[in-house]
Amino acid sequence: MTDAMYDLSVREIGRRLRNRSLTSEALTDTLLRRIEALDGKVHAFIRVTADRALEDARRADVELGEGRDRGPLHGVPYGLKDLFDVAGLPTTCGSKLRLDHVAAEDSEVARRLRAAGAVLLGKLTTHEFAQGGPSFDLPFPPARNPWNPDHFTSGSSSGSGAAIAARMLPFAMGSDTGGSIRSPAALCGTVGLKPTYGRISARGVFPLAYSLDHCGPLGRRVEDVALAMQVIAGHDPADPTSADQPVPDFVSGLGAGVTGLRIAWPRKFISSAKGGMPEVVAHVERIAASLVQAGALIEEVELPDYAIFVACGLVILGAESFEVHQQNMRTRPQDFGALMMQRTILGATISGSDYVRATRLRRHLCKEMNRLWGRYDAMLTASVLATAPRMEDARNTPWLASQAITFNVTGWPAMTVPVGLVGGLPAGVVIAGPAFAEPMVLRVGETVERLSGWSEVALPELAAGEATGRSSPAAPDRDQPRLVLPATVQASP
Amino acid sequence: MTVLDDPDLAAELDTAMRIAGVTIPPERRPAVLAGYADLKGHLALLRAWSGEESPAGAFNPADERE
Repeated sequence: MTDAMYDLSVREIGRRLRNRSLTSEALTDTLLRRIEALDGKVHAFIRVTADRALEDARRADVELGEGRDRGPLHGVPYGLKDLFDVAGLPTTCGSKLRLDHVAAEDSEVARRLRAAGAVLLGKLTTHEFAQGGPSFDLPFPPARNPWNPDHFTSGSSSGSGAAIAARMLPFAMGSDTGGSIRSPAALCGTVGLKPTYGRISARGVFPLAYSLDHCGPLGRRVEDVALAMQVIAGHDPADPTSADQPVPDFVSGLGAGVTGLRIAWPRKFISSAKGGMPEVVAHVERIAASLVQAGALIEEVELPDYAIFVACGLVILGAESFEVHQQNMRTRPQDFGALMMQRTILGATISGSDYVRATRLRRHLCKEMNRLWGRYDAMLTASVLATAPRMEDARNTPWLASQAITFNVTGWPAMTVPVGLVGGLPAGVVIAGPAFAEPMVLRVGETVERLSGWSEVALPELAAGEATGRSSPAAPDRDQPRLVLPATVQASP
Repeated sequence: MTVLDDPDLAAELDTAMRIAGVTIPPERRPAVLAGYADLKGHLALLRAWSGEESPAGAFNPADERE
């Protein structure tokens, strides 16, 4: 990585802000210019909040200058997937149905980040209501992969992954119901942490499926997401899904290595992924060997077949998601994008007994999987065992080579760490751990980050220029949403 | 025979949609029907599970840790 301002880690930004060699305003302005230059190609942003960001950055500079230090994110720019409410801003969820919605209050995550002095640069592209994608029949174009804009980012936190990889932001927030943080992290070459269910408040975040939804950070480095976790994690009494658990130190264990740790490796589970690429599986094997060399004890373990996790997770997701959208499905079906509508409407066919059976199966799977933690500290696995497909191929293979929903079903923390390239596109592994063991996941993940050689990989250099895709503006207008295609809804893909 | 030609499957889907009060836009019907066939596969797997010793109840990832 270079010493360019847009390459700086969260910790380095903080150091420079405090020794006055950098101002938050200068950093914010640099990133806004980068967004303006590149987002016509990447489409990571639905809305850029430039004026507000510069105002917040100036305030951070004043406060830091006066010694009023709000912690590690003070003055640090970030972005929010456009499911997170921010008072006074629209939360579109990427949908025509929500273009007029303006949030009255901050989501709990936005509130914590605001209180910590972080600087919001904008709202990020999402698959419509975190479902479907990539879609071309929505008000906003789908995000494109900075490593090659002809390729998919995965999703649904597609803009979060793209913005981090394009170095428009040091960190961003996403949500994950079936892999929606970990999969774009894997395909865009970023770190993405889905914490334990309930670790981060979901209040003010538009739901996809209540009992599977997780909020979490994406960044370019493990330490970046650990520092973000320190601010956003914690019990929220106003969110019934929030866990009343103490907040640990997510940062101090980084660098401790893996000597003596026992790591489970579901090798057959990984290699059985439908559509998995041998080159990506080889990266997982390489990391397993590196961890052994670094002093970890790695043992192969057996997991239940992935198909049973998919059956369990999709039935729960389908029923809960339909419950969220049923009114609009009845009255405004044409206003949904085709992919979102086609998937969500199927929830109407799931019976009450099937839903209950899926929740019982979920409990059974959790019990079986939790037996591992008597013996192991962490698990090495993957979320997507392929590289980013071309956009036109991705639309027909949404679950291809994915094993991500496993950890939405169990609720365990799981983090994607990029480890290498295959054909010029990123590949990642996942480190998982028992409930509320994010510090261990981060510790092992940081070791994987160092062992993988990822820091030596040159990140993509996008040339500013013409937009890619249909009807795309060259760059988002400052403080304006990027409406591009509301007039005519295209036919189903 | 593809799923699109299966009259029983289509009738099943139509019944479920009628009960739910939802109308599938005609141009989206083939994709919904194909998705329904996939979902039936998942449901078959779910129903094949024996249901051994697992009560219904609140989900808590910290439960049952051994």
